Amino acid sequence: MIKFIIREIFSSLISLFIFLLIMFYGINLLIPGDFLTPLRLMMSQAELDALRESLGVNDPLYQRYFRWILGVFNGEITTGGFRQRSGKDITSTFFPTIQILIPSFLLAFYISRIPSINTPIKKLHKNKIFSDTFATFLISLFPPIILFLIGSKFDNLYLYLVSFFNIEKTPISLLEISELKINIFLFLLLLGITIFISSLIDLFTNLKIFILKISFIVFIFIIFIFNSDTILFNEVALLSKNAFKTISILTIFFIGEYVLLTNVITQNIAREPHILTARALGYSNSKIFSKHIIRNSFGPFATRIGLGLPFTIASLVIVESTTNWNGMGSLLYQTILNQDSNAAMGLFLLLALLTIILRITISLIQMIIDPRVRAK
Amino acid sequence: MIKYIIKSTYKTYHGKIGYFFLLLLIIGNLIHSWLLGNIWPESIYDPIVGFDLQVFPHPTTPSKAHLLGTDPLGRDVLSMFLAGSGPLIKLSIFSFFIGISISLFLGTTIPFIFKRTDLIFKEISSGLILISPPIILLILGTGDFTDTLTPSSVGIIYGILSGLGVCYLVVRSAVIEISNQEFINASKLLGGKNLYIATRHIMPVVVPYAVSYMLASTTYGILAYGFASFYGQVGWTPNWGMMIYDAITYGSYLGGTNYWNLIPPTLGFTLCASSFYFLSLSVKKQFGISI
Repeated sequence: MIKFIIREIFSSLISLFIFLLIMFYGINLLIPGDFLTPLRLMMSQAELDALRESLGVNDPLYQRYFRWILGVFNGEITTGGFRQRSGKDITSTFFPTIQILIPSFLLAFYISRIPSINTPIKKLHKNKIFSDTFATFLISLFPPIILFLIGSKFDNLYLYLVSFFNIEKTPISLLEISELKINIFLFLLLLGITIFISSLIDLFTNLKIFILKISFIVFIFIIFIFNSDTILFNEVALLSKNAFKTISILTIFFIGEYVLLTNVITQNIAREPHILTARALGYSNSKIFSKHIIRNSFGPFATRIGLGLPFTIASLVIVESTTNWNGMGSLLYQTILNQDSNAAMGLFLLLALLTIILRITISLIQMIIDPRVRAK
Repeated sequence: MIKYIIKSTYKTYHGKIGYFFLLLLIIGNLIHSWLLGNIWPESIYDPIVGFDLQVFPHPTTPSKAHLLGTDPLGRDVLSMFLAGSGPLIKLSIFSFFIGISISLFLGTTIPFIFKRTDLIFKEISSGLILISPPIILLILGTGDFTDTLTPSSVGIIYGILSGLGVCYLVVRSAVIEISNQEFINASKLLGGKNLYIATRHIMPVVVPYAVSYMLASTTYGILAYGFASFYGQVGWTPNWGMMIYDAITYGSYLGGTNYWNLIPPTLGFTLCASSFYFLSLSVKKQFGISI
């Protein structure tokens, strides 16, 4: 396994350098101006030229690329002297992206299983016309339209909740709580609700609910009770509105593809002899599904998810900028519009790292779960 | 092979729906060109600069003169809807054929004939896979390319990226699997040259892989173009992204968004993007492609 991890990391690093090289040349050649261009209103041309010279902006691109890479190794992802956004600004968007990405993925994963679970095993090998068509429509739904349809509903719901629970934003008292603490609590809240919904789905589809899930929800509940700080609760509650909006759009975006994937994969597995044997032995629908189909479907599902990760990251850019969520996708959109090439490169690095980490994690889980993959 | 794929995909219900949607959009676009040239006055029904002076205030509800009403900027919604499919179909066709050609040619020859360069190409593809289309469109749209960012040029860019990226990797893995099979060894023993084996024996087997992946990628290309057009990054072409933006943004200034402004472009996107995804699904189902 260690050999596999080392090989994966090495291979991913090469891809990462190639990707960053292409993006560095792409950004600097295609976007007019540089990260100092917005300063033209505050400085004279001579001052700007002098600043460009001192920061090495006029150097050949390959020199600037290697300087940037060296900076990355030294822990500074937006080197270049003067910059519009600091490295801290950029890295601070990593956690908000994770906050919405994980719940959306989990929700989409659980919801996408419903059409297959609701199908009797003896009919599972047949085409699911309705769910396939519906899923394809979901894939082709345009995110701003989803926001338009659900946005006002969320606004009304929160308006009601704010007046009912008397939730108020208290900017001065907020200074007492760190941003990290608020973000962690928001993440726990989002994760807790996601796991609660997934447990409900399991309950309604007659699948076994894992004790781990229930204990996790109880654990989150206890944490919230022990930290019963009104200011913290208010802030988390207010922030959660945009988070839920973003998660909803992202989940709808993912569900379509996952439903299609699950349908195809379960259809293939249902044709296999061991499912026929289980049926002949009189196993119940839910037992065959939870013991034989779900476990076997993970391998092909993970492979496809791994291949589609760049599209997942692309959807982050679209969805986050649609809802103005303060994650990496939204900031990337703003940095490109502001010609902030240094910050954009920092974000590209983070997005690529996120893709690579997710890809390696998926491969590792596949190895742990499937002995055939381990044997290879 | 393409003819065979078209025939076999038509047999599935996915394929039938996909072709039907595509045909609907193409016919709509042709009808639009005919109407604009023969019946509709250009000053009123032009999808970009048309304005009906006799109707006021805009947006107006559906009427006899404007079957789907007008948008907040006074343009005919039906004309915009019908014209909007043109750029996306152009984009899809360019992207599909360029992606297919690149992935098939390189994906078949490099892992089979030029094995030494295979690893380098694999790494380049893995790097390219990380470049997502909305980001590229965003970068190009921010630069001085907004006017030159035509649907065909976007299609070419997207075709190259998808063809060299995800599609190349899928074709490559299929080629590696096939190249160890008996019939390839038999062909080698009979004196078949590598190029002959690659083009005559391997390529036809991997065509469905390339076709299904390029069709699926085209769906994302359409959505990416829609996103870019929504934010005004693709210049003055009739497009549904711009229609949605105008309906939401200007509509909200003028007393609320009207559904007759919003439903046609949404339907357009759904029909266009889903048609290609349906076709991709039918190829996968007909040729037993599970990944």
